[in-house]
Parts: sequence; C-alpha cells; structure tokens
Amino acid sequence: MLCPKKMSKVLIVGNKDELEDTINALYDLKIIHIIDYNNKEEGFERGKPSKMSSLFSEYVLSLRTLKDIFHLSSSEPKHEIKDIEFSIEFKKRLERLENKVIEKRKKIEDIEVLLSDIENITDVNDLVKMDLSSNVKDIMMDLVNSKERMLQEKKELKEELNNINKEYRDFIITAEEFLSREIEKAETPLRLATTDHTYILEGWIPSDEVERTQNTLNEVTKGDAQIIELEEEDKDDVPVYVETPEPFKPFETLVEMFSTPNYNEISPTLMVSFTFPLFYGIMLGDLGYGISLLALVLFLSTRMKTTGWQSLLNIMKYSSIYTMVFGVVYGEFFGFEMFHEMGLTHIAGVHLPLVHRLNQIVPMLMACAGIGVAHITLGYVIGFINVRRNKGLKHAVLEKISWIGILYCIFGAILMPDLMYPLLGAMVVFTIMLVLGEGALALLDIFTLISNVVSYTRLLAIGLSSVGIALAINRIATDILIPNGIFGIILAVFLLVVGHTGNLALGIIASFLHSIRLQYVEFFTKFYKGGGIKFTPLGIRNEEV
Amino acid sequence: MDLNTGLIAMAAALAVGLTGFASAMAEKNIGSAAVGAIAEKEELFGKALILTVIPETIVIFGLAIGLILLFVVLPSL
Repeated sequence: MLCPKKMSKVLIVGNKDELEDTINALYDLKIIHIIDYNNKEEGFERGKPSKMSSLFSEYVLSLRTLKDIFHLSSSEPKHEIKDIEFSIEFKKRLERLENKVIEKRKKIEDIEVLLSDIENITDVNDLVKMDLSSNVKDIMMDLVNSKERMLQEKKELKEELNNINKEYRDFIITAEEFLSREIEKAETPLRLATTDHTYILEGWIPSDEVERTQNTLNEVTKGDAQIIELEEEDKDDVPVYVETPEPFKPFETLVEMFSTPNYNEISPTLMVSFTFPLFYGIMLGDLGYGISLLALVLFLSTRMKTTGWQSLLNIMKYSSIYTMVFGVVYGEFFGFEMFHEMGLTHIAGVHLPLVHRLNQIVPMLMACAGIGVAHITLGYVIGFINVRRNKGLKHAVLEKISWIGILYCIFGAILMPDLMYPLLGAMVVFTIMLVLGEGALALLDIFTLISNVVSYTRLLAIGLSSVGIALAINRIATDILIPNGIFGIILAVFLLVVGHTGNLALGIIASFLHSIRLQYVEFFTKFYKGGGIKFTPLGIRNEEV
Repeated sequence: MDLNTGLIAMAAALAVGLTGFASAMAEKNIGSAAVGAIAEKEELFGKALILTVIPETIVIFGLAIGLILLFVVLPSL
C-alpha cells in the first residue's frame, strides 16, 4: 500500500509458432511490463507484426472517423467486448456505413454553405433597382424562396444522421475498442527479439505473480514457453507499481503530476489523500460554497468521463465534503455567520461557531503553524524510513532526525522563552549532526525550514481573503441595496449571485493550487525523490489524462 | 490614536503592499514563461498553473507579518 511492489526481471523464451498465443495470454493477464528490444544484439532481430495488423489499422481508421463525426468517446458506458467476425461481411458493412455517413455530412455542409451565401439576401427588391435582367431576378427569387426548403432538408439529414448514430454507436465503440486491442497485440512482436524459430521477451513482472504467469503459459503452450528470472543489481530502471486502495486512487494523479515514485521509496499517495482535502477544507471552509462545489462536481462527473477528469472530480468531491465540515466549524454560509443569524450561540454547552476566523486570527495563525510543523515532521519521518532502508540507520539519523530536532528547537524556543538556552544548546548538537549528514551547505536550508512553516499560514490567509470578499458582497447587498426598495432588491439579488459565483470560482482554484503547493513544495521536498518509471503492463493501454 | 498606532498601521500596510508587489513581479516572469510553455505543449497547463502561484508565498508572509502587527503587537502596546 505504501511501498512499490517488488518486481522481478524476467525473460520469456519460447517457440515462435506459439508467440501469438503467448502474447494473447500475457495480454489478458495484464501483468508484464515489456522492455523494448533495442535491436543491438547479434543474431537477433526485432519481431514482425502479425499479418492482420495492417488490415485492422484500416478498419480502425474508418471507425475513428465515424467516432469523430458522432463525437463518441470510448469512456462511455463500457460494453461487453466480444470477438468480432472479420469476414467480408464486416468490411462491407463498415464501408457502407462510412459512405452513408460521409455522404450525408457532405450534403449538410453544402446546404450550410449555400445558406450562408444567401443569408444576407432577404429583399429581392434591392435588385430590381439595380436594373438587372428579369432572368437573374427570377433566379435570385427562387433561391431565396428555396431557403425554407433547404432548412427542412438539412433538418431531415441531421435526423437521419442521428438515427444512424443511435443504431450504430454501440457497434462503433465496441468494434473500435476491440480492434485497437487487436492491433496492440499484433504489434507486440515489434518489441521483442526473435531468431528464426524462437523469441525472447524481456520484461518486469511483480515477483509474487511470476508463478501464476508461468502456470498460465504452461497451459497455453504445453510447457514450451519458459520464464527465466534474472538477478538484477541495478535498481534504477525498475518499473514502479504501488497498490493503492480504490478510495485513494484519484490522489495518485496528484502525486504523479509531480513525479512517479522511485522504486526504493514510500509512495506519498496515502498521506496526500488525507492532507490535501483537509487543507482544502481549512482554506475554503464555507458550508454554502461546499454544497455548491459538491453540486458542481456531481454535475460535471456525469459529463466528463475521461480518466483524468474523473480523478480530479473525485478529489474535488472529498475536498467539498471537508469544505462543508469546516464551514460548520467556522459557522459560515456564503459569508453569512449562520449560527449568529439563526440565533444559536450554544449547542450542548459548546460555543458556536467553534472557530470564528475573522475574530480569532492569532489563535488561527498559531494553529496553522502547528499544522505546518506536524506535516513537515511527517515528511521527515517518511524520509527517515526511506534513508534507513537505502543507506542505513546512521545516515537516516544524521540526515532526517537532525532536521526534526532543529525544527522543534526553533519553535520550542519561540513558544517557551524560558527554555531558550537549553534548546539552543540542543540545536547546536542537531546542527552538527546535520553538517555531518548533509554537508555545510545544508545550513542555508535552516532558513528555508522556517519559511516552510510560516508558509502554512496560507491556510488562514487564503480563507481570510475569500471570507473578506464574501462579507463585502453580503454587506453591500443587505445594508445598502435592500433598504432601497424593489429596484435595490433586484440589484442585490443580482450582486449576490454574480459576486458569490465569482468568489466561489476564485476560491475553488486558489484553494486547490495552494493546497497542492503545500504538498509539493513543503511536504515532498522533505523526503520525495520520484523519477520512477510507471508500471505499464501489456494489456493496459495508456489512456490520455 | 497616538503616533505608535499610526506607525504600526503603516508598517502593516507596507508589509502587505510591498510583498504583494514583489509577488506580482515574480509571477509576471513565471506567468509569461508559463504561457510560452503552454503554447508549445498544452498538457503543461496544470504544472504551469502550480508554478505560477509559487511566489504567492511572499505576499502570504507579508500578510502574516501584517496580521501579527495588527493583532499581536498593537494590542500589547
């Protein structure tokens, strides 16, 4: 869950006659990350794509044209992909369909061109004055009169296209999906080394899956294809596969936008999936905005079906829930103090609101710095585990514990001036450890550490600016506009809608960016190296993000 | 209202105003570079957006100082 899965480098060796079956089996397993053969070994050649590949490409081209015309995307409701009979029948059917659609499209375009040409001629009488021959006048007259008919025809053609779309969309999507897979399978031999009668496939398989893969291959090839596990010293080019539980999956996108984790380090996805929405909620923190954001996200998630959008929207879903929670904590509803307006001051002996951002600025500042210290400490602890695993305990203590010590000494000395001298003494020790661990240049980073902590005050600052704008809008609406009669009320409603929409848009973007910045700049720099290669097994196509 | 109150208010205003100016100058350069990068490769939009807000830290420091001046230093006078 935290660490990348252990990988084994393998060679799969077998008889070339069985290559196709082997590739099909591996494709279904979705387990092997193939290393492309670089065509440099003597006596080995790159494999050749299977015969069907060029024919399939032709079909796919037609299907993609159709998909384009009908604006279909492959992420629409998944269809069961069945084997398709690639007979002459299929070819004819596809050609007929394509021709029909293109022909109708052409007609619509022609009509549109004609229509736009005669759009400006509405009055034929202008032409009469120009003293044209009656012949020309008649033709023009005809054209203008036929406008109605052309519009009708265009409508009918569009209707027909729609019917075709409805009837064939399933076929188009399924066939395109299926053929794309077949092409990928057919082209896989290009990635491996072959001789006249054998092939060698080099790749990475998760170590605990090697046996299962071998068993499957035995079934398919009756024991001809063999998997050979290689001892690999070099750990740099191992593909990285981290098993993330489903609810945290969307946050992988955020981590990968920074960098794919390295094979030797802990993946921060899990930490990010807790802290990112938390920071987002602390910054935006308004019940009304949270509800609006959730509504917007739920609406968009029915429209945007690509993987990238889906994970972004899922992240926003978590974030909007935190926003609502903190909206209740702060007692804010579209900038109004909701508990105050409702006349509630206490519930079960708890003063409401729990925190009032505008009145409790200093405690909030302290709390934000506290969150910062905690988050940064978490970063160093992960860093400690990483270094200990890779370089040993001594390095880990010198490089990471020293930083934690310095951090707590500085902020301890600020909070408890009485203990300043002992803390300063401890800090000298930690600083010496740091110099031993990372060299003298690291001393400069002590100031970075302080600025990192202060940087977390943005959790308050971003929220304050958002509350400020909301408050200004509400004041103008309720105190200035509404007392001024009907016209004032209309203006007030207009101002409230436009103002809060704008403020919400700003708030959504600003909170997102600053929350992610805290992860990337303040958190990741403490432990995260990244630069890994993503595990992309045969059978999982690189979907666009 | 004594002189000190006014001076502290001025200090807070300068802290926020000048750091805002500094952020703007930094973001100007990053922003124009980011637009250039996006023009060449549209997928970089997300990364460019994040890079553009990095110098906003400067004005947040200014704001933090301003807030401390107004809400910690001023009442303690």
